[in-house]
Amino acid sequence: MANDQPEWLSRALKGDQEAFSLLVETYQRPVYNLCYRMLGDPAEAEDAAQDTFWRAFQHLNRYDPARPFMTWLLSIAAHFCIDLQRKKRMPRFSIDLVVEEMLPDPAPGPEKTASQKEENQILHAVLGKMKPEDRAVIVLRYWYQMPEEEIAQALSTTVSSVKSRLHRARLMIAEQYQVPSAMPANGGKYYEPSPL
Amino acid sequence: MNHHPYEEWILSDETLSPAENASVQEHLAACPECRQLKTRWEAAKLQINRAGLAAPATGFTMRWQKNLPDRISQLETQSARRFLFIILACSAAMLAGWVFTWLLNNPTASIATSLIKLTANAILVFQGIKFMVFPALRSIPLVYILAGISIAGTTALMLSAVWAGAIWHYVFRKPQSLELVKEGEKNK
Ligand SMILES: [Zn+2]
Repeated sequence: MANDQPEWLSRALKGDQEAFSLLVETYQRPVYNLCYRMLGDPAEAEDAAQDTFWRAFQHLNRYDPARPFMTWLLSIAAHFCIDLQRKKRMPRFSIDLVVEEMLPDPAPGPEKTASQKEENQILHAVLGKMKPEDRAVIVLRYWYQMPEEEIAQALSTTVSSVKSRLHRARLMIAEQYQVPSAMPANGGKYYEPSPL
Repeated sequence: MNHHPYEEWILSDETLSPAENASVQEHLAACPECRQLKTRWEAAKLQINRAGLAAPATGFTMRWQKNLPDRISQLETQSARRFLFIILACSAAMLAGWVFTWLLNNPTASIATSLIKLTANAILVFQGIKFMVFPALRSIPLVYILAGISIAGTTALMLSAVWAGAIWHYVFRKPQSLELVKEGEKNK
């Protein structure tokens, strides 16, 4: 990463404000998404994402160029959201606020949006019941496809703790995720033996 | 029915061996709970894939740029205050040290009482300064704050020079005690 990083990234890492804006532009979506999945509320996610970039801007000297820049940003965002929710204790995860504000999809089926919203609400309802630490692990693993080692590094914990959190969180999802009515509920393709 | 280790295998991201896979399939055929677990888990994973990365409202970067000057000036005010406080605290400590040294030089008076009086006075004076300075700081332009800081800094430097001289005078006549001081610092 250090070798092929664009020139503006090197400038941003030196604290150049204009170049850092480009960096915000580039990474806004992954950072915002993490905050949104962690907090469940678009307005809180916006504030948390802005604060994440501010923290990054203040501590650019702590960034290790050997690691991917996005991992570092996501690590800051995850810590920030976990702290935020620990302080508040009560998660403000409100499923009625889950209005998908996704960017226009290149090929969105017209029938897709309504059921998508419903499915998202179900997903967020389950995520909202988890401990913030477990939620962070699930989000990093399944939204960002991070390997367990990288998750452990990002959350400043051990791989074995990541493994146990992952298992606990997966089990919770598998037990509580209600398959939406539009999907095969019984005897459908999901029950057919499929290669694991 | 015992769902172990099938539960772990069903939820695992790792590829199972052919033997493990066959054993899971056999268990699934007989166990409705694990079938449901598998269905829900796969549906949830599918949903995560479909949900993708949520994007912020348009203008995220513009909002970042708009707030940045405020954030920076807030940070500067904070660190200026912290710096001033450190300078004041150091000056107070050095003055106290200086007074103490002076008292050691003049052992005729009752040292204990003078010491207590002087310390009490010094604390009062510096608390007074603190309470006057901090509310005023919010309304004073940065230039004056910086000028104040440099004056305080110069004073602190002069005081420290005097203090260091006095300490040198007392400590270096007994090298052994200096060693003890060093040892004590190491053990902290
Ligand atoms: Zn079973």
